[in-house]
Amino acid sequence: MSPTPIHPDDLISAYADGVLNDAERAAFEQRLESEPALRAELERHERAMGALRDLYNPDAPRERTGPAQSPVAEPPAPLQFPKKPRRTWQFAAAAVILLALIVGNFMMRSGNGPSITTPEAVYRALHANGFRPDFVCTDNPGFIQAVRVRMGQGLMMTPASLATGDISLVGWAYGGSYSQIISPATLVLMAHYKGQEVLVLIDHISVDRALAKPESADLHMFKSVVGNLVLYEVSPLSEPVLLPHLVDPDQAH
Amino acid sequence: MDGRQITDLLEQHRRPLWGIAVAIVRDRALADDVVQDAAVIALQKAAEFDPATNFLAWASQIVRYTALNQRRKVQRDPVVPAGSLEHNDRPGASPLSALDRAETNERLERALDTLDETPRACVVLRGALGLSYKEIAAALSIPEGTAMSHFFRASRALRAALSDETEPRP
Repeated sequence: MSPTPIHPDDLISAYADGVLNDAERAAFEQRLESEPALRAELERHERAMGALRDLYNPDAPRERTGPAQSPVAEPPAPLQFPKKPRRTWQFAAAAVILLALIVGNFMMRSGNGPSITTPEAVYRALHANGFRPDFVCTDNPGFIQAVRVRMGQGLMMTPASLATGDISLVGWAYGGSYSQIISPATLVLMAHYKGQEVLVLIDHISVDRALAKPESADLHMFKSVVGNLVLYEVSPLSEPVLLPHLVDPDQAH
Repeated sequence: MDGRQITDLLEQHRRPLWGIAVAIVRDRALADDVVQDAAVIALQKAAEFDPATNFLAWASQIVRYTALNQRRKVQRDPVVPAGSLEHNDRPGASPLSALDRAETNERLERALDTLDETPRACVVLRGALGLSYKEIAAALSIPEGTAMSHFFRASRALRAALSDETEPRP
């Protein structure tokens, strides 16, 4: 396919992109032989495309940056779509299929020895930014779904624990905004317990490792295992307040 | 359409969806997150998708909104994008060539900043991910010819960004 007419300045892109027809290509190659400036421009084009592929290669290893990209501000605005009658869709079936997404995600996140951050550093960074989530998630259905999509196993708060009003789910901080916490795929759940900010780090037990305990006395960390997931709770509280209430929804019924 | 079908389609179109996300948030790790969150939203809205319409165009809108929201958050708290901190150093690359590449990447990033969203998406989807114009057109809901024109013009801007660059060192 060759757009007509091609702007003279676009001939280089069109040639490199392979969209010139035979006659156009032959004419362009003839010019290349006699015009060093054109050859240099073509070389620049190839260099630019090569750098672009380097910068945005989806398969390249991720290097997580600091707690630099702070989780901030309000949740994503609601999307507007034409309304149709809502159907009930099945969690269980979706869960099985969603594994494909997770595998894809893990493939994209294959590591190259990323730098590591500590649970305490993540807690401090989120606290400093007003404990605002990247992705709001305040109820169990959304919570179960988000964990299932990313981890292949759901996780939920026991309804009784939410009913007390002591615990409120806030949402998720993007684990991708931080250096490796447990693994590059660690989920960061934000919640409040009687007004206190509480974090729960969630990952596959297969990637669990010894995390650095908080150095300061005003923060505490606790660990539990739910199915194939390992959970770390970080808060100023002297005992875990979320971990005892986090269960596998498939086992809860 | 049920969750299983939506998930299959999401997986099938993962590459262009990721390309749209990374063209907006300009950070590969954040693009991963955006695509994941968009997948959750798409599954929540599975019943709203009309199978008579183009799935990629529908899912692209979700990715786009999710990515724009994420970018707005980052812009409120500006930091150096992770993508510009990493250079995918190849084994055996000399420090000098790494410097060259870093400079090239920085110039490209700045040139990309000057582009509007659609041309930027076109150049990322075509130049970096190698999508066909047909796929790009479907993903961005624009005609193929327009996708090509955007790519050509955006490529020109990227070339211009490198035009006064010091010639590569031997």
